[in-house]
Order: sequence, then structure tokens, then C-alpha cells
Amino acid sequence: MISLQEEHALIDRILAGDQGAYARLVDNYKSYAYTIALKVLNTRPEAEEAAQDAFIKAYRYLKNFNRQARFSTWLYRIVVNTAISYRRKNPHQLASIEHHDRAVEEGGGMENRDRQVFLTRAIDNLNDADRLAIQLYYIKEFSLEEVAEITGQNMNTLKVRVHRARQRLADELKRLLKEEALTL
Amino acid sequence: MNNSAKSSPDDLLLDYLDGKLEGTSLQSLKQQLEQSPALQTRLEELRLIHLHLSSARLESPSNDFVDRVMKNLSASSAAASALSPRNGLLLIAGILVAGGILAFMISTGTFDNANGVIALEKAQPATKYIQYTLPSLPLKGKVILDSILGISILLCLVVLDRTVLRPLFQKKTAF
Repeated sequence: MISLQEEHALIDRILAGDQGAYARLVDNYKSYAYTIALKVLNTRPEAEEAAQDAFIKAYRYLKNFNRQARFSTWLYRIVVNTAISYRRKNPHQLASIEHHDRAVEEGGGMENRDRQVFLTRAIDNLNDADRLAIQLYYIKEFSLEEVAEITGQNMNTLKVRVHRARQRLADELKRLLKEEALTL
Repeated sequence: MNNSAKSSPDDLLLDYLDGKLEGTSLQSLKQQLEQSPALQTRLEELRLIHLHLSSARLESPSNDFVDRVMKNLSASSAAASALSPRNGLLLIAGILVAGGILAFMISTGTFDNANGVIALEKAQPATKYIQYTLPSLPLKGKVILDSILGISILLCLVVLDRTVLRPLFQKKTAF
């Protein structure tokens, strides 16, 4: 990780024309940018493409970056918007397949794995805004304020989204557990 | 979602899972949990959701991610430096002025008599190798100038798209 001072020094160098310095910023934020794009798009190749595109856009508009905000927050907002525009271009993708596979990989007993798969599907069934809000909220290091900034939403709206999404998921889980109990 | 007494049970339980409850609110919720099996069940459901979401890990892109970004960046920088929006607009203005003058001259009939013929049969090197005579091609100045005008309009649209509209759209979608 690079410090805030280092980050500002890198930005100064980039703005002065040192394109190579940008590689350091890309390397520092690539995993978060890619993870966010993946949360929106759900497919790895597209998420990778969107994240790369977002980094290029961020470079192009770096002179507009207001240093009162954190570079990461500014960048992640570009990532979210870029990924959303990719999603609009290709709305009929098989969203949950990769996450479903991951849930299966994660192991645990059969019952637990089934539950993981079920929950992953339930998350996929949330509306786009609620799903993104809850997934970003659970990426560690992101505060509610940051998620609000990244998604361009009002703090209160975001709080409501996160709470509502968790309640919906819990209700879905309750339904599943009831069904499981009935089949026993 | 503060420790308000008006919060719904779900709000309190979610705040509890987020570690945001403290003091009397926390004690009060613990007491309620002891007395209510329904509340305990709900807490368990919400806890499972919380654990599932908390297990989300940071994903890694491909190993050559940085190299690819830098490579694409060099390519896009080269393309972007070719013509700035300002220069693009100036070029469009220049083409439009020239096109306007040309259109005005065509409409006033300046080129109506600018006709000619390309006499291919007079071309010596051709007749040396080709046995039959080549035809003469009529040359109409007005038709040629109309074509130039059409190409200019097309060029204007392309320059407008590449230098103004596309960058503007990309900027809007970025933020």
C-alpha cells in the first residue's frame, strides 16, 4: 500500500507527464478496482476489461481529480460507472455462474454448501442498486460514507439499501430453512 | 441506524451485528434476546447473512493487468494526442467555411462552364502497347465540386465524432 503523501507525489509526477508513474497507482488499486467491477458484472473477462477501461479513464481525467477526496474513492466511482455501462451493453449475461462455482469451492458440509449457493443466488436476485450497496459495504476497509461516495448515493439511502437487502436475504433464508425442515 | 428506541427489531439486530450498539441499547437488546426465542431465531438468520457476506474476498485480476493497462494507455494517449477537441472544432469550422464558399460559388453558376475532356487516346505510352484507341472521358467541373462538397461534409461529421462527441460521451459515462 502507498501512503497518501506518496500518492499525491505520484499524481504530481503523472500530471507532469511521467506516464510510467501511473503503473504504481494501477498496481496499488487493481485488486479493489477489479473486485468492484466483478461485483457489478459477475463475469471475470468483462470485469477485467471494465477495470482496465476505468484506469484509462481515470488517467485521462486525472487533472480534474479534486485532492480533497481520496484518489481511491474517485477511482472506484469511475470503476462503478464504467462497469454499469458495460452491464447495460450486455444485460443478459449468466450472472451467478462464477459466484455459484466459488460458493461450491468454498467447501463445508453439503447442507452448508447448498445454503451458500442459495444465498449467492438470493444476492444475485436483489435489484442492482441494493446488491452493489451490500457487496461494497462488506468489502472490508470501505466505510458506509465511502460506499455512498463510490456509488454516488445519499448516505441515508445507502443505509436503507444495506439494511433492506440484509432483511430480504434473511427472509429468503428463513423460507429456505422452513422448506428444509419440512423435507426432513 | 442509531440506538434509537424507535428502531425496528431488525434494525437493532443489524446494528448489533455491525458492532454499532453500545451501552444501554446493547443491554436492552441482550435482555430482549433472553426473553424472546423469535428474536433469537431472527438474530441467527441475520447472523448467517452477515457471515456469508463477510466471507467475500478481494479478487485478483490477471498477472499482466498493469502491463495491459499501460499498453492501452500508450495507445489511447497516441490517439488522443492526434487531435484535441479544440483543434477538431477549428478544423470543422475551416472545412465548413471552405464548403460554404464552394457551395455559394456552385449555386451562382461559377463552375457551370468548367467542363473539359480527358483525351486518353493522346497518351503516347499507352498507345505504344495497347492496340485499340482509348476513349475520351468527359470532365464536368460542377460534378467534381459537388463530390468534394459531399466528402467535406462527411469529413466534418467524422471529425466531430472523433474529437468532440466521443470524448464528451466518455467523460460523462466516467463520472
